[in-house]
Amino acid sequence: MTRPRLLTVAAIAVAVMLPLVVKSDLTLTILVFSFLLAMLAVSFNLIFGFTGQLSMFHAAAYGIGAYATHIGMRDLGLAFWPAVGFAMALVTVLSAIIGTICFRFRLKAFYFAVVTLAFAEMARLVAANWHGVTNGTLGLTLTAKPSIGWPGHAIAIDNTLAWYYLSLTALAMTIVVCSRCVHSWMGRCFVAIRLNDALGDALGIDIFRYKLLSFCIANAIAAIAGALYAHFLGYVDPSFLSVDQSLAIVAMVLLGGKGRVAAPVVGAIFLTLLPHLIHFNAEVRAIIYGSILILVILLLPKGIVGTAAEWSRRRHA
Amino acid sequence: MLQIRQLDLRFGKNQVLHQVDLDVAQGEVVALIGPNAAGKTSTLRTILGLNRAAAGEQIFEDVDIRALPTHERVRAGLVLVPEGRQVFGQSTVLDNLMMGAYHRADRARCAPDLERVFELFPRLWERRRQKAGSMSGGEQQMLAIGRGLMALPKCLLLDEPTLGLAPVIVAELRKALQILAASGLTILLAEQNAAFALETSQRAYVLELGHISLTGPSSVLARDARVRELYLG
Repeated sequence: MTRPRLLTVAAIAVAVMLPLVVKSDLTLTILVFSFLLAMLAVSFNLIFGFTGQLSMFHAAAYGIGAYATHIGMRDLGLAFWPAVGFAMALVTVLSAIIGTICFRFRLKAFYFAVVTLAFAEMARLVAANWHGVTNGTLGLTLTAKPSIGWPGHAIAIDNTLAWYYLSLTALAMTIVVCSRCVHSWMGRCFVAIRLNDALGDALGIDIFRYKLLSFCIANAIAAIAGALYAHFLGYVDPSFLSVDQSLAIVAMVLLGGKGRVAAPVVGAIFLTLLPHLIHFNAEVRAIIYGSILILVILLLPKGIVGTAAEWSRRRHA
Repeated sequence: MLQIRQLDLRFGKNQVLHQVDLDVAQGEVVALIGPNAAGKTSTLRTILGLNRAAAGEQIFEDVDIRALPTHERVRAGLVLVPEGRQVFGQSTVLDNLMMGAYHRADRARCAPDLERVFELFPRLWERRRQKAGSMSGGEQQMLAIGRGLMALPKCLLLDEPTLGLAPVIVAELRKALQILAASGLTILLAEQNAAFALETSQRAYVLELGHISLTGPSSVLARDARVRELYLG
């Protein structure tokens, strides 16, 4: 086994054992949030870190995933998991439309970011104003809880410990799926697009197709993360789709290290835990939080994991 | 194998190519020579579908390819080695070579093709785990050609392979191209270095300001007074 894979497996083993030691409900709750955000960050890394496209639609896919899951249960009478499937399908279709528009017009770098941001804002405004369906800015209270298993033998996910294992499983599956994608030929094409898309074009890579694939897969996973996050929180409002949320995801990926499948997990856990570790008033906390973020990005341009990997390589060399 | 008829190419108001006629037969090495900005690169890029022609016919193996996007032309066997030895500098030599084979259905079984490339350019074997960007210009050019071969081209389009390379490397490339030609590979070679191009090819076209001004067997063109004066010094 390669070292990064060994470390990932070790980290998952520690995470599985953790509830035996940590009994605090608050700590587990924070960890559930960080796992679900890590899922979001890992999937974003696919389009941002590997394919090199700065999508600003990721938070929107996450928010739409949350809303659509609820709507699927409330209005279509679906059970929880089929409703998540419905949300994924909806987000994939939306991503295919938006991606087709952006990539057909060959929008790159900041042009792509600005146009996806505009679509994300559109989605947020719909969520904020479509009172009949989304209850506007007040948001929706979500009481449904998922369950695992089959009818008659279902385990209800209704306590923090169950959510902990569910979110951990979801995160692990996300890492496996993304790792499969990245290490396949599809992944080679993603990286080729990031490194030199003009050359990729000349080599006969269907740039449009692989950009679209990367965008759709990343957003579909974000939709699952959104569905789980909102139902764990018991609440969804238009701020799920906000620019702040998109930027937080970018920060998680940059902090963890882009271009490594599991590295954003570190960034997501770091950013989610940090506010809880700073015991000050809210205003001072925001300043300290921001300063730490700036410092880490200035001092560790390759992210926490990227820097650690380089450091260990130098020690072993 | 490849027939280009009355090809016009425009970039906005500028007409870059004027009614270019070009034929490449199976197994032939054809050179496209001419000064800088004559339209050599534009011609190759148009054949590959990277530029959209304003008018003209493009036929490859009896199929009209005008409407095909680049990736389908590559799949059909038209493979370009772009000018300026473009490689993925941060990837290894091996990964770069594999990128050439990416569209092949049998890419999992391309080891024999890799071996052939390494046989042709032994230096790539020595450097297979090295990052492509850390190699010399000549080695990067070999890598770019090797990557083109991994795509199993029926017709290889080479754009300025000798540009900026030392004479020793140019000689090495000439030998490699001769081996490829002897193996039956069809090659369309665009070159500023007319001496190299005429020596390596059987037929040649002279492209000037987007017009084909002269065409004929390379050995005849090499003795042509005008070509000698303008391109061979």
